[in-house]
Amino acid sequence: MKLIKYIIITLLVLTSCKKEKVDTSVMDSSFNNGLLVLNEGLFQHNNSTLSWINLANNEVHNDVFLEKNNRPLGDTGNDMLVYGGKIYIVVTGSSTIEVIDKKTLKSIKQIQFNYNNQPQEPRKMAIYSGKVFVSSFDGYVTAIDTVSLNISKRIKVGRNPEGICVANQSLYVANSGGLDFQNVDTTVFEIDLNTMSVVDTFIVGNNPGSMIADEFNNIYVVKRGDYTSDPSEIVRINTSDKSVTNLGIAASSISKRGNQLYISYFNHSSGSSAVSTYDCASQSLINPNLINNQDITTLYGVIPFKSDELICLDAMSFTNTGYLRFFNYSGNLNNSIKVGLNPNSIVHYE
Amino acid sequence: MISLGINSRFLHVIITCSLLFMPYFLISQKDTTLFNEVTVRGNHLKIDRHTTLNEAQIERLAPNDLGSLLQYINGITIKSYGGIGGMKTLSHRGLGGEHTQLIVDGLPVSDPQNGQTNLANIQLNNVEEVGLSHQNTDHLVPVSGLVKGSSVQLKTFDQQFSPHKFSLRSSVTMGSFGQKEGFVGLKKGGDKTFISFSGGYRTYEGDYPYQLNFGNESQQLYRRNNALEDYQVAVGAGIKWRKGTTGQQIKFFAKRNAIDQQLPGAVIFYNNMAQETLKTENNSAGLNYRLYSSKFAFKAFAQYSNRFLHYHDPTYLNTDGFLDNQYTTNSLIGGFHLRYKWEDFTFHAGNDFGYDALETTRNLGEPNRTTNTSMLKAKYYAKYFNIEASVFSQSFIDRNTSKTHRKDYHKLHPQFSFYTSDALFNDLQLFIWYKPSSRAPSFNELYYSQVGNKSLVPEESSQVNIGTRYIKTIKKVDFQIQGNIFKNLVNDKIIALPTQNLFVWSIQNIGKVDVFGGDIHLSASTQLNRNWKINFQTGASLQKAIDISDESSPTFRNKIAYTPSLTGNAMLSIFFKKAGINFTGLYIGERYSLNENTSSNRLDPYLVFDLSANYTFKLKRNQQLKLHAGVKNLGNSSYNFIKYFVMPGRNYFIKLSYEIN
Repeated sequence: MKLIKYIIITLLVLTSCKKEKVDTSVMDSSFNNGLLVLNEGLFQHNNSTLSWINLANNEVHNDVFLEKNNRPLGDTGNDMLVYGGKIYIVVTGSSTIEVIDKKTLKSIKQIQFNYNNQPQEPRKMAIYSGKVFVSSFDGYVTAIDTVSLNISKRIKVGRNPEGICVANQSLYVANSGGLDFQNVDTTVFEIDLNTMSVVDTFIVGNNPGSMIADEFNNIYVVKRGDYTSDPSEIVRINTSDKSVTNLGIAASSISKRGNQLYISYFNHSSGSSAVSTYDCASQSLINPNLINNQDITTLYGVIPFKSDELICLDAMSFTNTGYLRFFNYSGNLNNSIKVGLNPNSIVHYE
Repeated sequence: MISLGINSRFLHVIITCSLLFMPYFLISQKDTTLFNEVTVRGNHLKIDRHTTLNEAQIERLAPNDLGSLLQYINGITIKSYGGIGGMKTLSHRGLGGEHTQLIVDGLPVSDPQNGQTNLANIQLNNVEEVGLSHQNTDHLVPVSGLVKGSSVQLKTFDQQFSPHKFSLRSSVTMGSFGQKEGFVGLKKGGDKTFISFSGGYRTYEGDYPYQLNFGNESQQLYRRNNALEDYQVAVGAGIKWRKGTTGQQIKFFAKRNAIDQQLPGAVIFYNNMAQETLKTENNSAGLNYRLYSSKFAFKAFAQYSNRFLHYHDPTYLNTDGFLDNQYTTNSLIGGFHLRYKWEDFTFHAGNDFGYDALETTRNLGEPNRTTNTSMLKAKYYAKYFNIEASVFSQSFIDRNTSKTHRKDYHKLHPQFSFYTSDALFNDLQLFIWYKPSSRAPSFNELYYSQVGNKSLVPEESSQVNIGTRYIKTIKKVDFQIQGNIFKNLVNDKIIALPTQNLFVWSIQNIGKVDVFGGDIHLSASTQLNRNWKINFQTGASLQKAIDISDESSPTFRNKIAYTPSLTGNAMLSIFFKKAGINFTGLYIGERYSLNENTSSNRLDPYLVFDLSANYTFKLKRNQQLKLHAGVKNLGNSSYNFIKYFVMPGRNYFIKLSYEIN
């Protein structure tokens, strides 16, 4: 019987094992001079988070959304943008849009993205005249009024829309058809923002994804191809003469500062990462390889920072904690900051 | 799709079964002398002993399926994705489930499509013994199973000769969250011939509550889309005959098992709308022949299996508006194993040949695989020890109509073991063994669209074990202590990784894992007096399974995902006359959801207790009625082994069984 007693004691000791404490570090209630980073997490792991980087001392607070709201952000935060005093976050797996106060990071509203009794899986956002336009995988673009935060319009588009951008009172939506793999979509729709109806279609190539517009009536689309023989490249749509041109520049995602495009490309087969710059005014490649790929494990995007810096998002093979890598304009690595899993978007607080 | 509620279908099954097999009740044969497999006996008896749970122990644990039961066997970690119906796969000593062979009634059971057998689909109402073996055995195990480092062996009521002319097993179980279950097993015959039938039916609603912890707060939610309905039927027959000193036997079985279930998936925050379903049908039939004489033994077997999977997701956002995939795998396996005893040596030779083919509604081509495993083994029995050396040859030849392939795979694996005998130390045995083996990539790993990688090579593992076993009776208490230290290595580990982006994953051969650990198992039982009896057993396993693939990776020397360092279990049963009380505890230590051991990937340890009581009413000679009722997860702990695959909280069951012989 003594033995049994000891076993029970052992079991009791085991139950009272250490339990890791939740990070209770106190943060300034005012957020300034810092970066808010959206970490996508991994699909079905519910581990999308927001990291706050204090640029004064480079201190990082992970999971500030949980800290401020006492609930997690959810599964697969795919896009984040700031408009007015609010930050909008698209959470694909949870099928929600999280609207938070920019100053306090407290949630103002969580918009459920369910329609026809199924999750819509929102993907990307664009802003136009007091409305946030959200593409969702169920084939819709949804307009959300930024004052009332109510859904004001649903527009039927193509298959699994992803990238979305606004140019000249038109909304452009990339229909990826990604969930019909081996039979993906190839089109970009133009929606007239006055009538809210589809007015034109451009054929850009297989599986179009992220999109950006410049000041010269051009839209740049990344058509991702089939990940094997059909490469992932940038295609330009000229909105005035309606022409479509494949620029032949390898790309995974794009961003813009002034008239310059920043193109990031991760080549899986060679494991190399490259950032190139493209001038929208002269329509020419400025630098085909700005950074040293040794400094990055898995390039997941590039974001211009301040007037002359670049932040490269390093996804670290997608399953390990990611980094923001700060490069100067000559392509030298200045700093690396560890954030969360798969960082994909940044809001800069001046 | 799934009908719920206590239903006429259940009664219908029972009645049909009874009527169908009524004639066999009436014809009976006389008991004849037993003759069992001739094993090498003498002073080496303990060699074949391995960790087993017998029928009574299985009953006391009242497991819902094989997966839940195996948690109580030391060294096995069950990756559990839910309660009843939730997928369960095993990992033994840090190796993937593909390195452990499941053997049911002496024949291997595999799943070439998924690689790992879903242990949630194997119910235990007709199971008389479950054991984990490290396969240093003289038994005539099929060599395709024997090459693997370990095996889980099941013996069912349906396939055993029996000293009784007629046996019956039947039970009705009711449990929380809509669990209703019925089972009947009949066996007619005796120790020379038998014919058996068993059938079971189960439904489950699965709408259990669970708690989600949000930072410092928590929320109470319900699992939904988690219902299940399944049935299984099996027929068996066997015949034995003897001529002089040579005995022979043939056994036959045919089984069918069909499961219709909803898949709740991982809990996704703010999105509780899963509607996926899965239908599984398994049909198999096999023949098992044995011949025994004092010097020579021979086994030959042949088995056909057909597995059908039908996955349906009505909310998938593609053009069709749904995803519907069907897979059919046909497998044939046959082989022989012979043993010849000559003075102090035994020699074994065997060969298994298997063929698997997959057909699907997806665009994966028509893959097939030919597998061949051969073995030569010699064992020498000295006075104080025995020593065994064997060589296995494994070949995997993969073909697919639409794809070209890597080269065919052939590999020789030498294996070795050394055991001391009772003559050296009376109560103590020491042993050491070395077992390398290969496992082929599954069809999913090779071909799954976008993800699959047809250039995958088989994953190779090697295991070294040093162990000891001490058996002693001290003051009427039977003690048994076993301890092992092991070191395992995995090369070319097959793992899934995101590649191009987060949604394009690929399976690759890049992992290398180093496992070092030890386990200890202790059991004690005593008969205090005529009325009181106590059984106790406990085990703990400590292991460090670390990723040693790439020095520059952040996961280098981190623990691999879902491999807890510490696991433990304890079982206590106290019997008073015809009543018994059973108490069990299971501890699963901290583990990580990804290979990077960060706090956000960490999963809390958990401890789950079950408590149950049983009472046996003896009706007549050879007939008994048993009542068993209990509480599972007594402490109502909110836990999950796999991140966000929540397990049920406190739940209850009551089971009534009626048995003849």
